[in-house]
Amino acid sequence: MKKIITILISIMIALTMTVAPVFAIDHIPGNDTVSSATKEYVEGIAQDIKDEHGVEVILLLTDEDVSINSLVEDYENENGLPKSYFLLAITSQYYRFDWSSNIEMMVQKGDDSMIIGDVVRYDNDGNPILDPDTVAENYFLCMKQYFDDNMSAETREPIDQTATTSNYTSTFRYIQDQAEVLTKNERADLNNAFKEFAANKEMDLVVVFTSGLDPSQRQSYADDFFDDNGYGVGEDRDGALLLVNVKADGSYSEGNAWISTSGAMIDLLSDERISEIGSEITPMLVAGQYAQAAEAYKDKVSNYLVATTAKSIGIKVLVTLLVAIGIAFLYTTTLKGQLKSVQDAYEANDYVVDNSMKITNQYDHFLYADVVSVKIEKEDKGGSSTHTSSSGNTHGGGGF
Amino acid sequence: MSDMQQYKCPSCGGTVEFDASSQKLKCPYCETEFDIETIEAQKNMARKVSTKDEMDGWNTTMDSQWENPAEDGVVSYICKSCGGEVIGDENLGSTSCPFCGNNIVIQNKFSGGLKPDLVIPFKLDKAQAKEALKKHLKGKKLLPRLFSKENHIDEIKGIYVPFWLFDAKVDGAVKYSATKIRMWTSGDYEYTETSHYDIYREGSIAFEDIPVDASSKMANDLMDSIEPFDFSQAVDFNTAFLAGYLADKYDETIEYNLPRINLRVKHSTESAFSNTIDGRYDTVITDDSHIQLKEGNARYALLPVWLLNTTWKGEKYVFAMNGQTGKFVGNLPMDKGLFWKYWFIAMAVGAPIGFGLSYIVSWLIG
Repeated sequence: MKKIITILISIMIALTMTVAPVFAIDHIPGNDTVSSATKEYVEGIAQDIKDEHGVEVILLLTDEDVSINSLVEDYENENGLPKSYFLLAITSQYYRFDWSSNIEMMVQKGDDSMIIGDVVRYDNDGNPILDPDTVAENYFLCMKQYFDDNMSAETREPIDQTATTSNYTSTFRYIQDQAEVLTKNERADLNNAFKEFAANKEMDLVVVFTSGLDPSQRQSYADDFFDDNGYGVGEDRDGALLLVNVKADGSYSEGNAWISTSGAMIDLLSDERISEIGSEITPMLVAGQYAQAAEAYKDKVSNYLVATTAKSIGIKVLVTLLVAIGIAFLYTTTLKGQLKSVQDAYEANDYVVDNSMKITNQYDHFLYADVVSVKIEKEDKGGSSTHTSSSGNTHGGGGF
Repeated sequence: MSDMQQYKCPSCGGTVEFDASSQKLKCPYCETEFDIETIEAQKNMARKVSTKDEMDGWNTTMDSQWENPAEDGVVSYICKSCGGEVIGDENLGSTSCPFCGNNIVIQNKFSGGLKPDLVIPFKLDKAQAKEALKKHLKGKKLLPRLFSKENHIDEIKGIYVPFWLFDAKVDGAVKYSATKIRMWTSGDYEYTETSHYDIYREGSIAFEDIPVDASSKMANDLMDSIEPFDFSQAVDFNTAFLAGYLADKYDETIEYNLPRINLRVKHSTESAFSNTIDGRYDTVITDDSHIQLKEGNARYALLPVWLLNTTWKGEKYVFAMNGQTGKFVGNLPMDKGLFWKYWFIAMAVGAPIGFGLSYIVSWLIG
């Protein structure tokens, strides 16, 4: 009798586990699904997340270059979406996050790029490794950690409303080739180089190729793209985004590019430096050398960074030395002064008879005034003009 | 011929002309304009100021002579080694020379000379002078450590040093040039406007009892440095005060000391007059001054000084203490090693401060 009850309970438990669609890892076009061992492993994690936090985690993965939106829509039409979910869809070119509105309070700007950084690895050529087993394992482990870290923390600030609207980002985080002017290899190579820049300099450099944008929209598009996709490092969101808007035929004409700066990059890329970058890369863009232009943009910013760092180190060393020498000089001069107490008297002020001074004649005449004017030299670095983007963040930048 | 007056521009020195349109004098070279009154007044005053100082208002004759010094028990001692002559009472006996430290052996009968008008008696004794030296050496960080340790006083002497006390009334006329500076920016330019003023002060001032040491044996700067003395405590001279002390005899006349005293009077007059110029000027420079001395008078006084001699590493160090007020002076040697030690300590303290400031500076210049 006992045995029968145990078996029945086991069957019931097994039934609830298989019936509940906690995730949809195997919704992958083609045969490229995860192995059964991995499936079992990540199902366990997904169940844990659901039990603890009430959120169903979904992964849609394909290594084909299909439309990412249709991938998500197809899934939704077929299966419907649960009340609380967090979905990641990955194709060979793009990724997309979706989440239910009830967990929106938890998700912060930049979380998506953090998660994708943990999920998608790159091979030596800079191509994303979209091995289903690895991606699935990474994703579910990452999500477990993410919900464990964040669900209890009610203090997290609400997410910016605009963040979900353009949640459409390529797997190459730093090179957003929406206009498809680069080859796949170029995207991967550039993305690697820009990723390295971000890791070394702790500033994000991004290049976005769009098409069909009106030149008047360049500033707001670049700013919003930067803000919405959570670019920028640190509290001040240090980073700069180069927007290149090409025509429908993929050619470029001058006046369609924009650099949007944020945080420390606002000061580094002054208006003057932005126009310097412009005059260097515009000919390349016009010649259709988009990859070279992106490379030149990165090199130029690197050089400015080195020059500014060297200058600021030089200033710091100089000021430190001058102050130290100044203090040492003042102190030792004071000590030396203690040793000298003998000198000739210069005046006889002590011996003036009290109230004996009488002024009998005096005048103060104004003679003349001369005015010297000096042109105020502008610093070679110049200033940076700033404005506020639609999300309320401060950006600098300029077009060329 | 009409009376042709030529005026010089106070700005550039060119000859100025009358400009009818502005009813002012205008310099054709630097285009500076002046009121006629200004330049007239300036010219008149300049004439007054540019004449030489009249410092001959001193009465340099002295009439109170020792009448019979020997009867007063005053004797003079002459140092065989350096020739220094000191006066003391006859009971002093053998002593050493306060100037060179050698023994004084020759005792002469004092042979007259000026009798001092005033004396300020010693208020502080030998023990207090020794104590003051200790205090003088204390807290001097760069003083060689061994100086205070090895240092032994060769000789401590209480000496009545001869001083001339000068009284004078002074008429002075001083010209100052002053500027006011105003700065502002407009557009891409920074403007600095310097307004020039011609300032004149004429008046009188009186000085009383400016002491100047009258002994060539005493270093002038050393004696200047123990000033001031409180002359309200001075009394008429009486040989009784000499008992137990030495008294130096003056060997620098009033006339000899006049240039030093005149300069001090001149500087004090200039600065006293300049104190009447209000503080709204950014710079005030004394251009020229004319000082006329009247009723200058000198009195002969003996003032109490403790003199301490010491030798260290072959160098002589002389300290002097005001025997009335206790003011102690004397230059001290410096230890170069200690100097650099404190230099580097201060550098080490200054570097973190400078490092902190460097962030502010680099932030300021962006």
